[in-house]
Amino acid sequence: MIYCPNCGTANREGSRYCNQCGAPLTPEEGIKCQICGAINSPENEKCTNCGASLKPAPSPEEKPAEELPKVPVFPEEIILTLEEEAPDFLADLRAKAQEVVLPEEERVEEEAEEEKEEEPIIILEERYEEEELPPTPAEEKPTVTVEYREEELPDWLKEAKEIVLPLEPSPPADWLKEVEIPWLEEEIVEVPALAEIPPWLEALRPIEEAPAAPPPEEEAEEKGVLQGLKGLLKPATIFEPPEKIPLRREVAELSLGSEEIQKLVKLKPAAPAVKIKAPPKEIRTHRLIHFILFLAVLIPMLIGWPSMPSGSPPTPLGVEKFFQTVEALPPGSFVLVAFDYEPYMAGEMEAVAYPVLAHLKGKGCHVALISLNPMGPALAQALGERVGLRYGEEFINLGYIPGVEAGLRALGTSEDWLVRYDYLQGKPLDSFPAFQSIKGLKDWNLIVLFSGQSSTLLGWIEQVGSVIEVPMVAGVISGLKPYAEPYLNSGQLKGLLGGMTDAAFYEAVLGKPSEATRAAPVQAFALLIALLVILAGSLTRGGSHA
Amino acid sequence: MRKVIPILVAVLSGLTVLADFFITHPILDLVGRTLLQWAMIVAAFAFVAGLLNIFFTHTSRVFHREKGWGYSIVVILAMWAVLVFGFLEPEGPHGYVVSWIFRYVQYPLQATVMALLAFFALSAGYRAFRRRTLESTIMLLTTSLVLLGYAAIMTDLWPMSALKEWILSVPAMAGVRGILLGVALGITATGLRILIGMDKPYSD
Repeated sequence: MIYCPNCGTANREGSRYCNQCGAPLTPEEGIKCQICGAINSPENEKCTNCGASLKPAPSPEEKPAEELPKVPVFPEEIILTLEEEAPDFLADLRAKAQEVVLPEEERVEEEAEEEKEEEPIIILEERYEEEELPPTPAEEKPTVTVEYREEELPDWLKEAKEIVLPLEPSPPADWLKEVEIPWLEEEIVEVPALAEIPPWLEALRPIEEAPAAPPPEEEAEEKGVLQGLKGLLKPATIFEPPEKIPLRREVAELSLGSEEIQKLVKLKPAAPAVKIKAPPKEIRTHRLIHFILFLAVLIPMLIGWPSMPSGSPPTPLGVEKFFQTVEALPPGSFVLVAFDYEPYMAGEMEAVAYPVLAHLKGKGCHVALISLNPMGPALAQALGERVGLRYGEEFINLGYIPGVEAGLRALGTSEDWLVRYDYLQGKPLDSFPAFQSIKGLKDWNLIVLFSGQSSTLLGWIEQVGSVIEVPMVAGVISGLKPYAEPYLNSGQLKGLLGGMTDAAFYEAVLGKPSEATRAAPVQAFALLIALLVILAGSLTRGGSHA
Repeated sequence: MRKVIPILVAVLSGLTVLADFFITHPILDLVGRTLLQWAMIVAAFAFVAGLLNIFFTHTSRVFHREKGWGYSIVVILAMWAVLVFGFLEPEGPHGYVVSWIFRYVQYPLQATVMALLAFFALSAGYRAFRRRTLESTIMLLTTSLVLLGYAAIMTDLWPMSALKEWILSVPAMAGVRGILLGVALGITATGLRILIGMDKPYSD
């Protein structure tokens, strides 16, 4: 996750701008990662994208000797022997391997050689001349010869051509003499002669190509009028037999040395065969949970069980108030109904809105549908038609008001009615006789809010409810009910329906069972199954971590 | 100057609308209402900007063959289909084709995605609700009682829902009121910062 430096919102990896406030998440001026190219904040030490270090890599001259990549270096004698005795193709392989594996070392060596040529420095070669020295007597001590090759030496050092330092190895302690180190002896492994090439390596030997044949001597024409002339063009060939393709040498031991070959040429080993594994236990458990929930919803819907309780549970206070507010409207009242929810909430919200619209229709009210959501008018229109309201007489669609709070404030403070045309037919509102008396927001007898989001619900209450005296009731999704209940207690809302359950109670009070009456028991049964699943997870997993 | 002018416009507009809340004056009311209607028009044009943004973003993905560019083609085609039919049909957005797309494509797709949330929420509940500490045990107990109350109210066990009502009406509402008060204070503070030019969300 990338956290916005402006508002702190967590954004997805790779986001360039904050989803909340739109602030850029990657600074335009910063340190560019040398690995992935991402721009990082100047104070970052590591790349936020790939985690690579953002500190500039020190040049080889700056790197201390111990930080340079440690690579196996053959003794000079062995290298010489390889170059002298090994076949050419082995020398080529070694050169390629060094090119691939040791580019840094080569660069360092080359630069060191260049420096050596440009600025000769003092080099004191220290060699333990064990072989070149004449055989020393047993009592003679070994010496270390220090040679120099540069003239820029201090005077006292110039005078000394050979410095003989006594090298007196300290005798081993007595306890060490008695100790036997078996592993030290076992580690001594006989190294095969460098000239011996194992079979697997022999398989790499390229097939020697035949030396290029010298260009054939131009033949002279043997017959015809051109007889005796050379360098003439040959007749075009229509068909030519294919050339003989040399086959690669088959080596039986090739498979035996495959690992060594792969290491040598730095090839990736072949991917192991993919085995289809059974999903882990955690995934199987979650699939089982999903299947249980699916059945818990599907089966009750199919068999129509359970149904509403046979007893008389008390109607929730908000439902009772809602019903009484609508019931108190005189026939022919004007009711403004706001559809402020998205299509994905329609499953629950239409179950809430349907009995209310049916109740308003039964009361003979004139209903106007409006929305703060661009998709609200289409949802409202469909539901109005489903309830059976007649367009133009019993209801009109006023469409969408942009700007949420600003739009609501403008709606509440306008001296005249802000909406002048209907949404469906584009006609002036004056052309609808049933709604000609509406001149402003204060002319409505009731405002009904169907909200799926707290912003729209609070917007209506704060921006409109604070400036006009029109009573408001609200129907919300069940998750929003706790946010709406404080306004019910304060009296700013005259009634409240929260989700499918309250809608079922409303239908029960209204005496017209419908969609909510069928769906609410099914939802309750699914919630009961969900509770059992949660309890099972808690009891079986206890305090263990996932 | 490029920074000063936006700040001046924002501060003067905000102060004018704010003053319109507290002062009743014909000129101030007229200016305040005009600014609010301008805000509505600007908000409506934001959809046009969003439409262009979606089009160019997905077109770029298709041209650069970015991951999932095939889906971008579907987005562009669907967008143009709705737009063209919306303009061609005399009923506009209420025409047969656009209404059909909305009712039988967009509506069920959004409802399907929302319905999947129930499955994931239950999986998360199965994993998350564990009695590790006293707080988590209290949360598990409360969740169980509320769920049981919702389930019982639709059965003959409805008396058990009384406890759920109490939980929602007393402790839950107390928490929600605290949240609402905090939100109100935050909005006030943010509004003041914008009014005095400390925050510039319009130019950042």
